[in-house]
Amino acid sequence: MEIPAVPCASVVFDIQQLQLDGWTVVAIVGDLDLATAPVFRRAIASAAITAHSSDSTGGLAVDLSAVDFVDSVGIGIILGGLRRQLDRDLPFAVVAPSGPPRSLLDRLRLGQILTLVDNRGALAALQHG
Amino acid sequence: MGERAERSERVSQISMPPERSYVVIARNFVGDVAAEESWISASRLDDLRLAVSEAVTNAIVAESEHGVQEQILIRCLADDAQFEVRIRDHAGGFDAPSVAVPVPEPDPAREGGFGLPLMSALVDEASFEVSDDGTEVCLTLRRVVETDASSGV
Repeated sequence: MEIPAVPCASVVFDIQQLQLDGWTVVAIVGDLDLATAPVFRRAIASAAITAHSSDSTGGLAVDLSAVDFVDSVGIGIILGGLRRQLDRDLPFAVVAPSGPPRSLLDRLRLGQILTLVDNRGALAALQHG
Repeated sequence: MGERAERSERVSQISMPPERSYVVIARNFVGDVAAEESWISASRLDDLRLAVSEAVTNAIVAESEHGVQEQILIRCLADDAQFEVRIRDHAGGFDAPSVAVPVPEPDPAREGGFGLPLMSALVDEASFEVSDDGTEVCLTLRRVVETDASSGV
C-alpha cells in the first residue's frame, strides 16, 4: 500500500540544485523525514545524473546548513547518494555545521565513511586539495 | 493500581492518521509537551523528538506494509521522576528486540536499519510491547536528581 502524502501548509521545505567550485550541490531548507523523503530522493538522483554528465569532476554534495531536523530516513537517502558516487569512484560530501543534523551524523559515526565539512566554502578545498 | 497511579501524572495524547505528513506533527507535539518539563534540557528535547520521529515513521511504514489505515496513538505521561512517550500502531506487531540494539558500524552499503538503534541510543529506555493487534513503543526519559554526593558537594 502506498503511504499517502498529505500537504501541510505550515511546513517549509525547499530543495535547490546548484553548481559550486566543480561540485553539484543539493541544498535543502526544512526537515528531512518520511514526508520529504520522496522529493529528497528524487533530487539526489537528479543531481547525481547532473554531476556525472557535467564537465566538473563529478563531485556531489548535500548541504544541510538550513536543515533543522533529519532522521534516519534522510540519513538513508544521503547514504544512497554516497553509494552512487562510490560506484563511480567520484567524490561525495555533506555540508553540516553544528546542530541536530551534524549531531546525528556524529552519533552514527558516519564521519568514518562520509566527508563532512562545516560550510560550502570548504568544498573548494576538498575538490582541489 | 501500580506505583504510577499514586504519582502526580500529567497525560497528553494525540491520535493521527498513518500519513507521511503527520510525522512532523507527532514530534512537534511531543516536543512541545516535553518542553513543559523544566528538567528536560534542550539537547534531550532534540533527542526525544528524533526518537519519536523514528518510532512514528516505523508505525506508519508498518501499517502501510500490512494494509492497515488505523489511527496511531501517541501518549505522553509525565511525572516528577520521568517523561514517557507511548506510540501505538495497529500493524500486527513485529519481532521486537528484548535488549537495546547497538548503533551499527558505519557501512556505505547500509542505508537503513537505524531506527531501532537510534531509539535505544536517544532515550534512557526504549521498550516494545507487541500484541496481535500491533506494537506500542515506549520511550522514557528519566529525571536525574542531583544529590550532595552526585554533585560533589
